[in-house]
Amino acid sequence: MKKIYLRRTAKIIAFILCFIVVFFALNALFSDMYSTRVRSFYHMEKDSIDAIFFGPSQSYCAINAQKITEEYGISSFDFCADGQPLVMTYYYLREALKRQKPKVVGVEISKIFNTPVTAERIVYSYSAMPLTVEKYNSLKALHDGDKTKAFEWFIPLFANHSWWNQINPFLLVKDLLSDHSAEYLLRGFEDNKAAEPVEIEFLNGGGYGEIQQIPDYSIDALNDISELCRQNGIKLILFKTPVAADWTINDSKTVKEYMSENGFTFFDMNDNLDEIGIDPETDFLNKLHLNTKGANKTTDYLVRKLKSLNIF
Amino acid sequence: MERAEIFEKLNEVFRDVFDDESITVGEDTTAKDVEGWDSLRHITLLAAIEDEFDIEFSMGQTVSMKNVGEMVDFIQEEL
Amino acid sequence: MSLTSFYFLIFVLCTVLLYYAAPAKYRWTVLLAASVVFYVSYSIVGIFILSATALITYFSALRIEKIGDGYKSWLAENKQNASREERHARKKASQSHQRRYVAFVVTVSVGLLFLFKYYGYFASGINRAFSAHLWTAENLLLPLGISFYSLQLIGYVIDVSRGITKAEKNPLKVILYGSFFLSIMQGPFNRYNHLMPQLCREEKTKLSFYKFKLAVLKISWGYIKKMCIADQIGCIAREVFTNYTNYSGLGIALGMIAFAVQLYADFSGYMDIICGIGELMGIEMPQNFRQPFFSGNMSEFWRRWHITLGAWLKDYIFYPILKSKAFLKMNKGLSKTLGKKAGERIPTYLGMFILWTLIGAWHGAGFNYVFGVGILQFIYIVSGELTKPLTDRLNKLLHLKEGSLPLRIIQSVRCTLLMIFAWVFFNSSSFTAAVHMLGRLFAGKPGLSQIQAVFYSDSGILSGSGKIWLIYIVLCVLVLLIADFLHEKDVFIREKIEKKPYVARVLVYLTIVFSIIVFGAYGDQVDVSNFIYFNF
Repeated sequence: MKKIYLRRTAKIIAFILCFIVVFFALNALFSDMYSTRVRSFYHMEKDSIDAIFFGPSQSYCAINAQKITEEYGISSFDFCADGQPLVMTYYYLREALKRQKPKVVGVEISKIFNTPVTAERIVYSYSAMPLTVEKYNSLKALHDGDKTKAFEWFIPLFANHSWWNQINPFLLVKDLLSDHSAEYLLRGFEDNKAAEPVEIEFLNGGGYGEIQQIPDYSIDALNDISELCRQNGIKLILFKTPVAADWTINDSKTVKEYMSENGFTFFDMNDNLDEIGIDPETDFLNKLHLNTKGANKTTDYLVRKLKSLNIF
Repeated sequence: MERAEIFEKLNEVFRDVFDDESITVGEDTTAKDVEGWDSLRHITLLAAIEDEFDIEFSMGQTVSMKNVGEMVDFIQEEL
Repeated sequence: MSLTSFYFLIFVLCTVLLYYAAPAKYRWTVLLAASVVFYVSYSIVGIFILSATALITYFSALRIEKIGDGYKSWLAENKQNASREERHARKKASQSHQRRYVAFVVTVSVGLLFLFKYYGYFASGINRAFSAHLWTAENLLLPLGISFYSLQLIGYVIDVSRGITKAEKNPLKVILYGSFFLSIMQGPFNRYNHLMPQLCREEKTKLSFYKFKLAVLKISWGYIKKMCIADQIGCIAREVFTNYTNYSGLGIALGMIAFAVQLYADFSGYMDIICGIGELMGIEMPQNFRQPFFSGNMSEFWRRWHITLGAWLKDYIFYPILKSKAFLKMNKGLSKTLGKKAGERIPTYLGMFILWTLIGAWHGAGFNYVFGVGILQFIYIVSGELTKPLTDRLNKLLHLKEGSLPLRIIQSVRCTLLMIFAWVFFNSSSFTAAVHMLGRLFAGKPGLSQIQAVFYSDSGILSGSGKIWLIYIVLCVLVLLIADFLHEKDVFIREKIEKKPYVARVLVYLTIVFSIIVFGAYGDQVDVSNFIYFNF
């Protein structure tokens, strides 16, 4: 009798083991290969970064972390994500602090008024992140506390299983075996050489827009970020890149008022377009993003500004 | 009425309804044994039997009779 | 809670554990509690409406039985003395007294059903036609499963009046019968004396490991059909049906086929999940599908598709209509004038017409339902019967023997095509929309581009290559076909799997689990649909 139970238990355990093996294999197959930014971050040496920049794509297209590291000697990283809202920044920061001890954190606040998080962006931003509590909590926060959805996005196999009609195992193997060191050198920065002329409304006397209130979720996130930086002795600065297409003069005014009332260090680079030397003909990839030329100018300005504020 | 007599009369009715002179029903005959005796013809068949014996089957009997033997039981009850 | 949600799995687990933990006498209360919990997860108000209907049914059934008992005891006393006429008169009086209570229950149930499901449709129609301002009951939510429990309770009270089942003394058991969570949402239609003895049995039953594995296999097969086949292929069907003006020819045909696959996989998958859960508790639920696409003719199709609905309608609507005085008179009258065959056929066909109109109407408020799964089916069946001599001759000409494989294949293809056509009406938003969509079958130049259009549509329903999707559809159809074929040959697939060596079994289990994980339509990156029969 006992023998039957033992054999049965052994069979069940063997099944569970097979299940786990197949699960992990499929999980690797369905992981996203394209979120290079996240992958690069985990390749940096521990405790080697002094300045981390967060924010949406505007940020990783505008702040050339490689330049700051190589030319100015300040080890930096653009730990940004597409459409990154402030609540995601908070959890990204928590995740970052597990591996790094930065002295400065810069947060780009283009998304302070809304959180346009789509499924696509979540894939990009989270797939390559290891399975940590921060990842789970951040997914939960992005889905208004929905635990089921958070769990689904947490595990790449569940999140991306619908790619079964596109998946190519050969590409995966090729990607695993290829050399990504060029990518790591960029330190999260996106190198775009192409240029498209854009119109900057501020320069033509326009772009006032409606008056918006800063949503509560952004205020909460800012407070969380600020508290986290304070606890870790990090200097926090908030800024807006010199991209005017998703920004209005009234937005700028609202944010500046809020920031100064609450003791945040904030500057809007749209106020200093001449000083930065932004040329609408050559410095933009598209109306929402700078290209590398524009980014280099912006980066130089940023370093100067931070030095003048005694942050660098 | 005796069972045998009822069966004799039933044979006549069956042969008439299904147009087949060779039909002979017994205690265990069911719908499967008679060609054409489907759920649609069931009512027609029972109506003809009701006419023949001047009785009326209840709906309960109509849906629950399993074979001709049970049908004969019901007929005897009603007579 | 949706059947494909995590919460439902937890719910089933708890219910099964509690069921076996409870002493046999109280297991039905566990089922009642579970059914109430399940129902309340959808609507709190609805459970009161259901309970009220069930209680009215309960009281009526008791009264009906009492009346019947009254007659029986009178009969026992006076069998020798009373004349045949007197016995008949008494019987008639007792029956008509009982019928009043049946009518009461039917009025209440059907009245509520009409109010929640059909009134709004007619009121809006009247408002449009006569510029009236009738209340359209827009805010009234359809109580879960009202189309199913109403009929099931009516069936119970009629069965009591027919003496087929004894009236239930415990009102809670009648409520359980109405609300039983395994059949509340999409059926199957139960019969009181088939379901309740199982739910209320006194002997303690145990679940063997073998039976447990069989049940889990059935449940997972249901989930594969629902999540991997119905929900995935449903995306194609939904796209083509919603935006049929963008598609033509083969694209429309693809949508029609996709819907047929979706409907079958969805509905029969749900049945498998329900039956499997029943098996976990030793409860046998009635079968609702028996390889419907292998039917030889449309009459047979409806004996193999949604079997319990057909059986319910036959016993509680069709037979009473045919046996009614009016119809019997018609039969006699027509037999005299037009001959025996016509005398029999015409009332039967009239009865069938009424029956099919009701079946169509039961599926939904709208002429597209009444036609597609109602009147059109009547036309199919009657024309099939009337043309049988012709088709028999044709078969002889083509040397197709009755019951031979080539003939059976032709017949089942024919049935399948007829149903694919009919289901266009079922799934369209209106009768005219269906007609327009069918018209588009002949639009445009036939070619692969018409199919490609579906996969490169702007609505972006489908990521990935159209070729892979087509392969997937073919694979799904093959899987369904093979399973049905084996069942038609009476192969007990699950038993065969369990008899195979351990390694083969592990492969099967892993394939099942990972098919659901990889191909299942869940998650933010897929558009998931509800069960089609959910709004019933």
